[in-house]
Amino acid sequence: MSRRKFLKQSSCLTFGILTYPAFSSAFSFDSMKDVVVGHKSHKYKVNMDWGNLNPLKTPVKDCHEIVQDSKGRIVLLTNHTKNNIIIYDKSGKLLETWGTNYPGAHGLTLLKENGEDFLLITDYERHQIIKTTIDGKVIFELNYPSDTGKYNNKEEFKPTETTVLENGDFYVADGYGNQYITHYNHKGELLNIFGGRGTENGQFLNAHGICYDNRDKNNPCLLITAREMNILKRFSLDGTYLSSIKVPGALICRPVIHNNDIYFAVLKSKNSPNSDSGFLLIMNKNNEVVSCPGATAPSYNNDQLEELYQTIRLFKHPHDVCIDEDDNVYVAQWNSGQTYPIKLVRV
Amino acid sequence: MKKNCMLLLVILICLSCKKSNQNMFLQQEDISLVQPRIEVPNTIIDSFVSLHVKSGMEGIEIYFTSDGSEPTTTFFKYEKPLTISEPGTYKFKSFHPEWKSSETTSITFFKKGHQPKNILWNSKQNEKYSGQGPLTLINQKKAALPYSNLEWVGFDSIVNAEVFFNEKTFIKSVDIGFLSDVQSWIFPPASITIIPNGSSKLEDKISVQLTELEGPRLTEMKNLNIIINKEINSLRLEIANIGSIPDWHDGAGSKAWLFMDEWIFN
Repeated sequence: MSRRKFLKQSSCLTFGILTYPAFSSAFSFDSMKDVVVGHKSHKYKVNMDWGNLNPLKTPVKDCHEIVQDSKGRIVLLTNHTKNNIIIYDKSGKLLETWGTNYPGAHGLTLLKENGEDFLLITDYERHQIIKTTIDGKVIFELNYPSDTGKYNNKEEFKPTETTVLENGDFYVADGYGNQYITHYNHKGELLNIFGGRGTENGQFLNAHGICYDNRDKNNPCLLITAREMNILKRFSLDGTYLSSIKVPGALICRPVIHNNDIYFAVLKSKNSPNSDSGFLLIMNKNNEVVSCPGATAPSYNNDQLEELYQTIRLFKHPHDVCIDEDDNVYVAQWNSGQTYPIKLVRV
Repeated sequence: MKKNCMLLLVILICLSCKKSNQNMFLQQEDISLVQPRIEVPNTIIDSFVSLHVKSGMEGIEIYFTSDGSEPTTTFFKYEKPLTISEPGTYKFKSFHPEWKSSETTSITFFKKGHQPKNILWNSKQNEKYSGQGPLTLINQKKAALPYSNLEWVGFDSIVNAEVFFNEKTFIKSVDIGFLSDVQSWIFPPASITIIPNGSSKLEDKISVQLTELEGPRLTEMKNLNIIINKEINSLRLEIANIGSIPDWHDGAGSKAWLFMDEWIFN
């Protein structure tokens, strides 16, 4: 039995006891209305206290990305150079911190080699991709792809995200730079470059996030967000454009695959008067939007998704999500007033 | 027996306290709704326009006013699209029994003004935000949010233009639309000066100074009505940008943006 199922059943049992007349008055459930966000199969309660630390000792600036390592620990990347990496356990307890020289720390991806965890960090201020061990030892630093002829100088390269294949090959999305996707082997040798700035099928405006999608083992592909365009684009591993999935109104940051679903932090709603109008978005195995925590319920009209927008002022600028084995979601936010991540507990 | 009862009571009270302290989840009463979404084809009325409001969530009730007061749940409840035929300001607010109510959102409708024959630009708009071209500000179409809407014209310095009418026209007032969106570094103007008929006389100049924002604000489409009460052939408009971004803002010291919306000649 999964942990989630067990909790569900055991909480029903507890609830049964507590609703017994003699006890019910002692536990005033009615006066408490927990916020529940999301739709259909993906609904969550919200824990704002999770991971809150002393900002004088362990500060954050923007919380850009968040992943879970092989030990189940939650690894947060912030652009605060006192501690670029903050590692928590799942209860939100601080375990360790490291990193002081990643001023533009933005993308964080976990990869495994021979059973050992490594991290790929993109830093758009250093214009580099940095591979480190899980405790912060630098393995290599990768500069802008000067040989491709697509870049005049390093300033044009502002990488935002990476994704890694089983064979160690990895791809970099240059979401704040010239919008190219670069493909490297595990040693960091350039194999291919594609994309670029533009509105054609194979191009991007704000190629912010990239994710290796091997849900269909026979047809693995790349999922790349064109955040400004509110589109998720699919590409083959050799860089051929396959198809577009439109998510009107949603500035999707990076795709994160968990089980057969794709999760996104949505930075903001396109047409909202307040800029801090973000929410989360979840697609099922057919890439259909099924739940939008903090926003309108997704609905399709003649196969066209209706415009999505924030409905409650809960999330500020969600920037990344991490989903643990109990299907709980950890949300890292950009420009939210130096807040720590939020934990959503699936109900 | 009495002792046992007391003991049980104490245990229950302790348990109940413990339970409420243990509830780590966010409560609905702590979170507010997002303001309602207003959809209109245009806010300049020729005959009438139809106004739709969306709440985005089940269980929300939207109330509105048209007399400038804050909407309350007493009146008027929005139930079907409104037909607007008179200029004025409408305010809308979302309410829900379990969530905090939204902030108020408002929309102002204008009567269609006199159509100028031509506009002569003495200043240059920013290339990235040139709207629909040189006539954008006199095309009888108001802009909408966000600032990327093509009815906005963005300036990173001053605005200076002269509008010409076919014949001598009595102009009661001019409505100047602008954007206040400090999160996007777009600020209201510092001042607006209007000079009728190319006059060089100081006493003909009409000048309005605007008060500078002292802190963050929600994004808002603003309008300033300036009284003219003159028969004119032409009007020169000079609108000054605040220049650099004030100290309280993240972008302090950098260039501020000025975004203009329709000029309406009443």
